[in-house]
Order: sequence, then structure tokens, then C-alpha cells
Amino acid sequence: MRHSSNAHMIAQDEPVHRLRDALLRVTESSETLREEKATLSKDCAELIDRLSQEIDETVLPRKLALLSDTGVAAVLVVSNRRLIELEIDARKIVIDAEKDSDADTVARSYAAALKTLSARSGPLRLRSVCRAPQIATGSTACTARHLAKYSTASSFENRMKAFLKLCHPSSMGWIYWSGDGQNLAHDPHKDTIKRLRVLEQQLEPQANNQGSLSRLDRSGPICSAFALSEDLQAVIATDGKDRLIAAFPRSKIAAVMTNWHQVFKHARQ
Amino acid sequence: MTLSDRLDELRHEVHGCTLVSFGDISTGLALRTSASRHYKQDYLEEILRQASQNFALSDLMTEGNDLVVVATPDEVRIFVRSTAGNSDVVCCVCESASEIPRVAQSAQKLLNEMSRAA
Repeated sequence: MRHSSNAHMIAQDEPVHRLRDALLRVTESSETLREEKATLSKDCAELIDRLSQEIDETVLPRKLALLSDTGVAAVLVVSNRRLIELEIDARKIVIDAEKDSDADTVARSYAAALKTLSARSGPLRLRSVCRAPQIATGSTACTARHLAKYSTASSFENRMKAFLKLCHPSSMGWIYWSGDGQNLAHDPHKDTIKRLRVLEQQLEPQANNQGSLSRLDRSGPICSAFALSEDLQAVIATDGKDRLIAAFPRSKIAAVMTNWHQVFKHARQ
Repeated sequence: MTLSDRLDELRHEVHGCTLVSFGDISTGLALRTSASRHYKQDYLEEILRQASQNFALSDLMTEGNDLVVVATPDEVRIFVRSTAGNSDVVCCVCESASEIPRVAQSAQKLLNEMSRAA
């Protein structure tokens, strides 16, 4: 109960902290702000932090540039406190609006591109270029807050693999399909794996028929559990790219689902 | 105690439970609901369809399964199906998965009482 009320208080405090930070920033001298703008972002974390702050403070459409030693490395279109477009070396980062429709996935794609750019170009400086034409904030935009979550290297960790690592010790067997075509299996009990393979065959038509699934099924990461036999539970987890089918003792199912929920819930905060 | 009272009671006894719904899994209809906030009928019907798909998969693998759990980053949906041979189902939407055993037990008790009363 106490945990719940503390969590509630923290959630209530968050807008207050954000407002206080915004007010403090407004009172900064213009010289301090100019110095901050001129500062080089030495690594990916600094770059994403700096960009997130700039995006969060930009309401009207603007073009921003990231400058390296050799010139303009990237151009960003920002509006309504969102990153709308990112172009690196004159090539637009394309987001699949159908497949990657949630803000978290969009932010992850932009952050991954910025991470690659930062590693390749070295220190980068942010510069405001000009006003941008009025652009609608569609499903390929992400907020500054979503982008800021990807400032650390650990935020790029594959969450499905993080979940597998957590639940592997209590598993009675699993099959893992990676989005890049890898297929791994852990089969300490041949009978269990045989049952999981039967389940895999049943799931095949669903996997090939994503378009006909309900809105809830397509809305992002999901994990289901049900009985595989009298003593075993099947767990089917996917993040939209990777998929895991695993078997666990019935007694472990609450712990396994809690693990999944923690891995994916934390990724959204 | 009415069915609505029982659903309210179940929702209050499970920590972090925001919705308890009694429905018919064969038709996908949510018949009675107790919720701490407004849930659209579309949402209720979609999660029942989700439960039905998972129970169907489980039925292909084994017999007598009465529990399906579906987790998303935002919530954990716990579905308990009647073991009395009818299509009654109770759905609980919770904040975490830690309450699965308690929900399974309480919901099955509720379904048994409903089936005896019918």
C-alpha cells in the first residue's frame, strides 16, 4: 500500500519538477544559453540529451543542424516539441508508419541512427538553421521525452533477449526467433520441445497474417500464457520483431509474467 | 449478493485491479463489468476475443485449461474460464502479474457460484 502511494506521489510530482526546471531555464542568462548551444556533444548520450532539450523547447517548426568537423552531418525538422524528420548525410531516416507506429519505437529508430552518427562523426554541435514549413505531427514523429529515454547504451538492449536471460533459469525449454532470421532453441526435455514445436505450427498462420489481427494484438509488445500440459505453461512473447515460445512449470508463471512486464514496462517509462 | 456486487468485491480485493468483467467467451460479449475508470465496449470485446484465441490454442495442446494471462507494457489481463462446461469467463485487468494466483482462485470461485445458481 505504501509503495502504491509513494508511486502515486512521484507520478504527481513529475509535472511539478518539469515546470520548476522550465522556469529555472527561462531565468538563465542569454550568455549561459549561448554557451550551452555552442557546446560540443562528445558522445551519443550527450547528443541525445542536448537534442531532447532543444526539441522540448521548440514549438514552432524549425530546422536544426548537427555539425561535425567536416560540415553538416545531419538535419532535423522539429515542431510542436517533437522530432518530425531526421536526415543524415542527406538521406532521410525512413520510419515505417504501419509497422513502427508507437512513439517509443519511432524514438528508438531515430536514437539508433543518431548513435551511429555520433560514433562515426565524433563530437557534434547543434545549430538552429531556419524556420521550417508547417508540418503535421504524424505517426513518424516522437516527443523529446521519448527520445531522451534512449540516451544510455543500455536502453538499446534487446528487451526480448533481456527477458529470455531473466526467465531462462526456470524454463523447461524454449524456441527463439530473432527478427534478423536467427532461430535458437534450448531443449533440455525433448518431449517439451516437441510440444512447443506443435504450438509453433499452430502460430504460423497467425504470424503470416498480421494484417487481420485485432487492434490490440498489433499494438506492440505482448506476452501470453496458458496451459501446455497439466504441469506446464506455455509463454508466447513478442516485441513485433523477435518471438519466444517457452515452457515453464505452472508454479513459475506469475514470476515469469512479472519479469516480462517489468522488462517492457520499464522500457516505456 | 448480486453479480455486480461480486465483481466489485473481486476488484477491490485484488491490489491494482482496474477492471473485472463477466462475459461469454463464445459470443465475445462482456455482460457485467466493474471498473475504476471508463473502458469502451470495443476494448472489452477485443480482450475477450484475445482470450478466446488463447484458450483455443491451449485446448489444442491440453484439456481442462481455465487460465489465460496476456501482458502488455501497460497492463496484465487475467482470464479465468468456467470449469463447469459453460462459456462463462471472468476477465481481470491488473497493474501487475503478481496477483495471478489470487485472481485465478477468486474468479473460479465466483464462476462456480454463478454456475450453481443458474
